Amino acid sequence: MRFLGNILCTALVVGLMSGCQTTSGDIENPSADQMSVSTVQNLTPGERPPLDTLEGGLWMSVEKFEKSIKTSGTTFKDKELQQYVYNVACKLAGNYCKDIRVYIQHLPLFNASMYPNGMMVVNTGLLLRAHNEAQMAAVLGHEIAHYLRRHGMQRFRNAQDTANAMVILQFGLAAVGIPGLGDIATLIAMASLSAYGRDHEREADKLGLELMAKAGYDPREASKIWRQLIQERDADPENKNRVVFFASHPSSEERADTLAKLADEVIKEQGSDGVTNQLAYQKVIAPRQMIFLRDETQLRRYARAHKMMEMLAEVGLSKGMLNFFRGELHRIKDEEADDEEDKPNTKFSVALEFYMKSIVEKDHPPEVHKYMGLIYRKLKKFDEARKAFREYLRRAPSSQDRLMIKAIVNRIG
Amino acid sequence: MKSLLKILGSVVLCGLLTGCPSITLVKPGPITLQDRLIVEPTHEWSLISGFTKWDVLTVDGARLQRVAVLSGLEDGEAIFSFPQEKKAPKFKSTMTAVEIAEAIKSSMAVGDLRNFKIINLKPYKMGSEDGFRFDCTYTTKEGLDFKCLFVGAVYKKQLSLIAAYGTAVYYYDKYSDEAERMIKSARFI
Repeated sequence: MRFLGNILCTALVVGLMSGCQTTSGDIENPSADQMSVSTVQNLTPGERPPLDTLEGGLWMSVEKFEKSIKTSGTTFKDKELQQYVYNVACKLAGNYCKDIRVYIQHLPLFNASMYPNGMMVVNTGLLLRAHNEAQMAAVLGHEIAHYLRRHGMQRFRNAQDTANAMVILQFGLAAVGIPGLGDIATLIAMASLSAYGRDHEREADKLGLELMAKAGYDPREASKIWRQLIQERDADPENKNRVVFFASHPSSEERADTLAKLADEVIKEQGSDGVTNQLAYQKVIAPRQMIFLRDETQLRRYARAHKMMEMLAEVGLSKGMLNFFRGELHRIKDEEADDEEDKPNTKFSVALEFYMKSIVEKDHPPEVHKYMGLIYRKLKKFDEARKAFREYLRRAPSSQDRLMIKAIVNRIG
Repeated sequence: MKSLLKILGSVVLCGLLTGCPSITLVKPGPITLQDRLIVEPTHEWSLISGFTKWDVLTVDGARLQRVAVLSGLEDGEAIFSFPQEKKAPKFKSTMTAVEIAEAIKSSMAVGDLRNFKIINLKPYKMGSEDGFRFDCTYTTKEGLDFKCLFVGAVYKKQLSLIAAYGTAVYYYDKYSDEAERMIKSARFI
């Protein structure tokens, strides 16, 4: 039980510590405006809180977590990609570059988090969704802002104060004979933590945007990446009724609008709009795109993934690859559809349409032919199936499933 | 006293029902798993059943090594169980071995094992049925490397699978011969 308690405690501490912060101009000395939200001083470069302080203890807890991240099976082991993301983070962090470590997690959801000791975790799902380096820098800048303004520490203190107040409130309610109202107290406490989180998020948005502009990126890309996420979310019918009361972030619409206004102000101040580095970014992501897109199809969030791929196609990513995976989404959906939903006449037709669009592109993956073969076989179009399988085997002669594909071709006859 | 009786009652009721979680010792010789498949271990194994849809045989502990058996999976059922919010890949009796292997890989990804690699997928006779087999590797969330092997066949429109897993260092190799013997001995009832 004590062991379980320790795990829960560490999880709570680590969870509370992944937060955010802001500063304009000189990031080591926050302006009065920034201090109005957070009253703590920024860390100085290379600073480490003394071990006998609450913050020092929190750092120790996170360092334990960081050790587990280093050896985790979800860490995306790709030195070149890791170095690229780190270099961008370093450019944004300026004098704090040496205080930040970046870990890439092989997880398809859009997410990045920053911990109080300078550990930054970036999901592959974010790297896939960013359309250029400036968009990635917008998210990394936001996360670095959390670190600079010690938001993790502030959240922990707030949680501690709220927990103390809760105990007093619970005792008080019990003393007057209404213990059932403890649930209401819990609700109020959670809402207060949530609101506190939203203030930090706003502060980090502002400082993050300033950091990206200072590093030479186009700050307008910050609002663009949020709008892309809004479009993806809205494409998902299951997401329409999402309860937002406890969300720890400002609403995405508000966030995108605010970031757009701030970006215009920064551009006006600087007199230039910065770069997006789209080509450099796509050069790094393109060789990994197959892995990241396969991850998305495996999640089976068809509508969202389809919208995301549609947007990637608009910014010029490989149509051969994207159309293959759009076909994959339809193939898997049709394959797993319940029998009553099956429409024999149209089943797999959309998947085949996307595959056909894929194979006219020079850079289409060999796998398109394999899946076309599997569909034709199901539709009893055996000549087409044979032809597709043979093309797959010709283009991928050392694939791990070649013996099975050859056996399927032989059975077709 | 009342609560003790309740517990005893539950235990008796559970014993009368099939599918209750249990751990039993399996002696060498033929055993029937999931009412559909017979395998013949040549050593003693612990059989863990009723916790998931898979029966699990292990000697040194299921977290280090295991042979898992699933039989009679119907059209539309998920190969592995996940919390409801996660969309688990479903088996369809029209799937080829290529699609079943990919559904297994996707299931691993849904369980956050994103580095599951399929090696050498090829035809294989399971019992007397045309089936498939492949080797595989993956790393757990904690960073431990595993080797694995899957063998499967669709018999009477139902999917049966036997999978052997073990840590890449030591345990997989320790039991791989015994796992192979068990797989070769498999026959449908």
